[in-house]
Amino acid sequence: MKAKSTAASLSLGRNASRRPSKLGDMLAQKKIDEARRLTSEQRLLIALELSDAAAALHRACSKKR
Amino acid sequence: MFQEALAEILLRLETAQSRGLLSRYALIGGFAVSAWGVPRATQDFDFAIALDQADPQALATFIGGRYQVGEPDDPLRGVVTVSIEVEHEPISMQLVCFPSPLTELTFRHIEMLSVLECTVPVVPWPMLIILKL
Repeated sequence: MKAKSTAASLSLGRNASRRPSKLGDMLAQKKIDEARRLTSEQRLLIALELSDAAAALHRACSKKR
Repeated sequence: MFQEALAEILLRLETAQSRGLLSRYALIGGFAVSAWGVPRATQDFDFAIALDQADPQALATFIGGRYQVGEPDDPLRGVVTVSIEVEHEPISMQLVCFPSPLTELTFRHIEMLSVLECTVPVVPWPMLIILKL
């Protein structure tokens, strides 16, 4: 029971059934603020790099299955 | 991989445009959302295309993809789906064709972004919201 409530309190999600998290909101806002400081070109470049990384992780995990 | 794919895609689209196989193209989908919002990983490339009088089937053949026509009640006129091989990995791309009024609106205020020595036309964020893409 205690483990469940701890998990709920640590949750960063915005699901209506979950308790709102100030810390979660703060982290999300930080992410948005950081993105705002970048140019559109920089954000697109980061997305291309992130997609490369995500594809590499997917390939690595697929081989392990 | 995605960087190389983008360069290859832009080259194909530019060539298709110069041959009159499409009128205009602009980035939509996850990469366009990343350009205007918080960057995130995505799996494929989506472009809006304007064909004007061009034949979508001819474009699909040239690009190396497949053209699917939307049903009469479908909000999309058609989609060209292409798989591009980069570093022995397939990366998919969709070229989405909207009905005429929406196409006109989509291409009204295109922004040009310079990335990796390429110029990428990108649909502005208010239009992405309207398109729900």
